[in-house]
Amino acid sequence: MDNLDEAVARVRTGDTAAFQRIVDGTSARLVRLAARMMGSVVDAEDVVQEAYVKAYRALSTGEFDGRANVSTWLYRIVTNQAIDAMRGRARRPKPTDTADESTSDLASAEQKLALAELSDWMSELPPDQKAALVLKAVEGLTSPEIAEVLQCSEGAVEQRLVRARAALRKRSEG
Amino acid sequence: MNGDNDIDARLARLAAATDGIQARPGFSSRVMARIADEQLGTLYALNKPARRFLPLGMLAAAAAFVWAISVSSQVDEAMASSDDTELVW
Repeated sequence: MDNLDEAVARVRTGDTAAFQRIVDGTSARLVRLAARMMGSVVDAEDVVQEAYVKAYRALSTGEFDGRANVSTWLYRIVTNQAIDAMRGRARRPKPTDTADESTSDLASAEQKLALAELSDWMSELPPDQKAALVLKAVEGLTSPEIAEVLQCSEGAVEQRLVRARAALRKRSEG
Repeated sequence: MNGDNDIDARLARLAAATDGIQARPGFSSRVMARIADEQLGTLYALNKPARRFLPLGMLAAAAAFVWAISVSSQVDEAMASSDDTELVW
């Protein structure tokens, strides 16, 4: 049993403080994943924070039975939360002023430019295709791993990837 | 397939450029504070149905008190009347 599994087991028995170890051990990777999907570190933190609350609820109520891989399970919660946030953002008008963000996170100018480029480039993609492409080409997950995260078949993952690439190709040609 | 190569190359460049992205300082503490709020919320939610029965509980307690007093006075009366009773041998 590794450190993460042990912390999960402790939280499941009511030790809330052990959740800190889960956050410390996973937040770097999860915030980076969410930032790549959301295009902003601040939005990514909101997404990951809500994902952790959901994870805590699932652990404390026994909804998570501990059989699934903890990292994959957290990846799934964050990805679903990011997809929901992207859908919500698509329904709302875009904010005109994002100046507060530029002063509030520690990402370098290069990293911010790269996030903005990634976000702008994929802005036309439906959230599920964007998630599949980020997980595959940016996070480096295999198709079976993506299928587990997105809870769909490998065929559905491949289909999303093909459609996403076709949309990006069309965009660069147009 | 040249288009796919271009897409892959651009994705690889953006992946490398965003590799050092990290949360702002204090993120972990903010998450744990949110978890603490969540716990309080759960306690409140559990507490809420219980508070609905509070007036009923108070009424039951008052009724039990009145009953205890009346039983106590009946016992006192019984004891007093038993003092007056003379046994005839």
